[in-house]
Amino acid sequence: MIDLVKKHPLASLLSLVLHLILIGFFIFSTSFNEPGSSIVPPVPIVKATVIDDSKIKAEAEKLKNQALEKKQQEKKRLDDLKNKRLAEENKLAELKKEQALEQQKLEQHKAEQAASAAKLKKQQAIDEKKKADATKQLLIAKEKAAKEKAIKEKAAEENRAKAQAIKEKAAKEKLAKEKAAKEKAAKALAAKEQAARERALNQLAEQEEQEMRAQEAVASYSGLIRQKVERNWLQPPGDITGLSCTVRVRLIPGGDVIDVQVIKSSGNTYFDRSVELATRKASPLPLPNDPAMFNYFRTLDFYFRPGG
Amino acid sequence: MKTTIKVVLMYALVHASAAWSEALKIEITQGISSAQPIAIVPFSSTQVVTGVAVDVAQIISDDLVRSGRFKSLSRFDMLDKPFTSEQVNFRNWQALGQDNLVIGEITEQANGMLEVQFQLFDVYKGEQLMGFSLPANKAGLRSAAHRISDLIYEKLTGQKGAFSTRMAYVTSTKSPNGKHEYKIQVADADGYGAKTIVTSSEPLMSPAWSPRGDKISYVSFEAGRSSIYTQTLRTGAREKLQSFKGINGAPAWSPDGSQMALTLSKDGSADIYVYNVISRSFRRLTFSYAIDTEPNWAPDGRTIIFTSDRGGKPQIYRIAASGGQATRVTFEGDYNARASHSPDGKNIVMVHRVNGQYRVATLELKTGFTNILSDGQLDESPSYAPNGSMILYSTNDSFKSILAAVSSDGKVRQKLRLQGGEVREPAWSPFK
Repeated sequence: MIDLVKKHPLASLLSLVLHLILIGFFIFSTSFNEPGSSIVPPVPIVKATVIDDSKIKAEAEKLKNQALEKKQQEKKRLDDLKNKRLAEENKLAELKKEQALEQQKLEQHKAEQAASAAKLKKQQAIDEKKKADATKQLLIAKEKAAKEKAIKEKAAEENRAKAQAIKEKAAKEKLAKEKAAKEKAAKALAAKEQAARERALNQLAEQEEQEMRAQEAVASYSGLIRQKVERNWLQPPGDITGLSCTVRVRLIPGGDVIDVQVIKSSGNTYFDRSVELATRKASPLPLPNDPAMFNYFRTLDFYFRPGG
Repeated sequence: MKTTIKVVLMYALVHASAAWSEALKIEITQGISSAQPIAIVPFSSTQVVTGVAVDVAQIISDDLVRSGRFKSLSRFDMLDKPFTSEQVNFRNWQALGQDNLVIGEITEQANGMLEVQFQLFDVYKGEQLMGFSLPANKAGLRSAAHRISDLIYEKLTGQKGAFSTRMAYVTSTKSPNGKHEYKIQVADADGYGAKTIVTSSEPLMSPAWSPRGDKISYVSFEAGRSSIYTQTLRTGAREKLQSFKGINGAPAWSPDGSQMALTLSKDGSADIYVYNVISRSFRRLTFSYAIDTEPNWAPDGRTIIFTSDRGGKPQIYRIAASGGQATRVTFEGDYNARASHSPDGKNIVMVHRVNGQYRVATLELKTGFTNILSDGQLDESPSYAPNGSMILYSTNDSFKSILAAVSSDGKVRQKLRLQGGEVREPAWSPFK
């Protein structure tokens, strides 16, 4: 019993408190059933006042009745008490019996409780163990997960890093490439521009040269044309000093004159006609062999100014 | 930058080419002063024109050539001989270097009159410049030809043609019996159709046309001494001017025909006088002790030029027609005589002695520039054509005096072969 208490102090204490409460109930329930009797003897009432003989007599009678009644009541009260005590004893025995039973039950319950507790404890231990195990497992798992996660993360990180590195490398390469390309492009552009410039310069030079050649050709052929027209210009007789006439002459390749128009008349019909005739008669006019040069000679303005 | 260059280049190129294509300007300061080539195709006669032996095309050709302004294509060189415009192939004439082409046709009308049609073409332009149809009788065909020459000449030179004008000249023949015969004749400008207006056994000299061309004044020695006669051509009537002792010579009509300048020696030396046709009065113009002769009126009638040896040698002087101080005109050479004005009054033509040779020369009054036109040894009596294009003069050919014509620029000279003996003192008529 002590071991048990020792073993289950909380349960034991609880049990004790419950018992005490039960006992308390028994005690208090009795007192409550007989208010102001047996435990406290009735106190005589003293009255000093005599009112009259009849009254005293009635009184005395009354007292006498009362005393008798009282004796009866007392006797009844005692009997009741006796009965009550007996019932009470019975009840108590029964209660004792019940109590024992209860005790037995309680003990049994206690045992059961202990067993249950043990079982519970055991279960608890198991549970705890389980829990611990689970925790441990969890921990392990967690750890593992963490580890894995870490690994994963690490891997991911590594991957990321790697990717980043690759990316960066790629970016770098790309950048480098771009830079190179840019540089190359810039270089190419510069070269191109330089080439273009050179080409432009060359072209310019070539054009200048061409232009110069063209101008030379123009100049020399202008001279030939002039000579041929002069050879064909029959100056009108008489005084022609101060007269001048400009004609616009259109040529076709080959130098044939196809149209002559007086664009600035001398005011002298015959002078004008001599001029027009000279240009028509001089047809075909000498032209450079190069057909490209023809554009220079497509339209000619002849300014006839005798005597210079 | 690049674009800019390109743009500038293109701009420059475009403009350069534009500039070139628009304005390659060639200045022509020299030309040739040769005659204009003209082809005159023989005029076709589809019908036999009886009694006419006139080659109209040839007359035109001779006229134009004589002017010195034209050279006519020989008929033998013609590739074809069209007489209608449809038949003309301009390329042929261009190939022959002809500037101008004349074609024509003569048809006889029912009434016996002739119709002379002609067309003048610009060969290089390939277009007609002129086309006319002239009526003519058979006797007047030569005149029609000269008329066509005038039209062509005026169309191509801008100057009035003088082919329908005439000339007067003096001929002298010496018969086998030793007698001289002098004549004044009037002929067409080409020398054809000569008609004698006066004949004399004594010398005839100095024929001078009235301004309207209806009269000729001349000097005749028929009365034993010199006298001035004025003869109306149409009627043959002549009028003797009052003559004085000594020289009565060198008549010259004023441009308006109201006066005549002449040489008289009635007051001693030969001097220039002006005869008023209306009042029949004489006015002395020069008062020198030297010989003043051969007067000629300026076209404006204000001044008269004459020959004077007042400076020792014959030179040309000028004096106002109203009188006054004479001024010397010629300074080049030691002999300048027989001067007359060109129709425009800008030049005078005269006999100019150079290296002992007497030549026809012109003097530009403004500049004093002398231009020798003839190349004979004894060239005399120059006379301007009324259009100023030519000068008639007499020259010696095989010891015989003949007439010659020279273009006023001296480029073309031609001798006129006339029938008869010596021909002198030509005088070109004014325009009709």
